[in-house]
Amino acid sequence: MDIGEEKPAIIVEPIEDPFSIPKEKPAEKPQPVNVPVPEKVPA
Amino acid sequence: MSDQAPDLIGEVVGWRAWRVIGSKQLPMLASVVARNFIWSPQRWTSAACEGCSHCTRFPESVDNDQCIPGEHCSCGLYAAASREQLVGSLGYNQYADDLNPVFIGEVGLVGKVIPGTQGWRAEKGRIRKLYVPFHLVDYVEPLERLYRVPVLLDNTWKKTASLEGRL
Repeated sequence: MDIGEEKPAIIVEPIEDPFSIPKEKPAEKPQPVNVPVPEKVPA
Repeated sequence: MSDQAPDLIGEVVGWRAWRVIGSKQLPMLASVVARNFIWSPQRWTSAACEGCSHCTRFPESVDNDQCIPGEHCSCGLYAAASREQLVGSLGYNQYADDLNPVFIGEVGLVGKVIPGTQGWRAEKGRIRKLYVPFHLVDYVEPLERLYRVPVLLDNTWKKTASLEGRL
C-alpha cells in the first residue's frame, strides 16, 4: 500500500486497553445510618 | 511500545482490507499481500519485518523497537486515510477471489506511527469495524464472535458506506 509522502513518526498511546477485562467492582458494604431517637414518644 | 512520551492519546483510525482465510465457521483475517500474516482477534496485532531490504542489511536493527515501522524501511501495519482511498485509488477489492474474499474495515493504530499523505504505517493495530459484502452474509456472525467488533453488510466496492446496519 502506498501511503504517499511520509512525515516524521509520532507516538500514539491508547487511552485504555480495549482488550482488558473490566474488573468487577466489589460490592459496597452497607453503611450504618443514624436514626435520631425522639425525646418524647408521640401519643 | 516506545517509552517516549506520546504525541497523541487515543488511536489513529485508518482503513484497510483483509483477505479471509480459514473456513466460514472460523474465518481469520490475513494481510492481502502477505497471506501468512494474520490479524489477531481480540488483541493488538504487531507489525513484523517481512525481510525488507533495510532490515536484511541491518539485522541488528530488527530487534530495536525503533525499526518497525522504520524510517528507512517499508515495514509496518498499513492503513489508508479513508475508505475512498482504499477502495478507489488503491482498489484492494481486486485481490478477492472465489476462495478468499476480501473484506474492508476500520483499524485503530497505536505505538510508533508514521503518517503519510494518504495513510499510515504503524507498530500495532487492532480491527475496529468490518464491512462484508451482502452475498457473504454467512461470515457476519462468525466474525463478530471471533473478533468481537461490529460487522456490517455493505457494498464494499463503494467508496462510502451505503448503510450503517444489517439486513
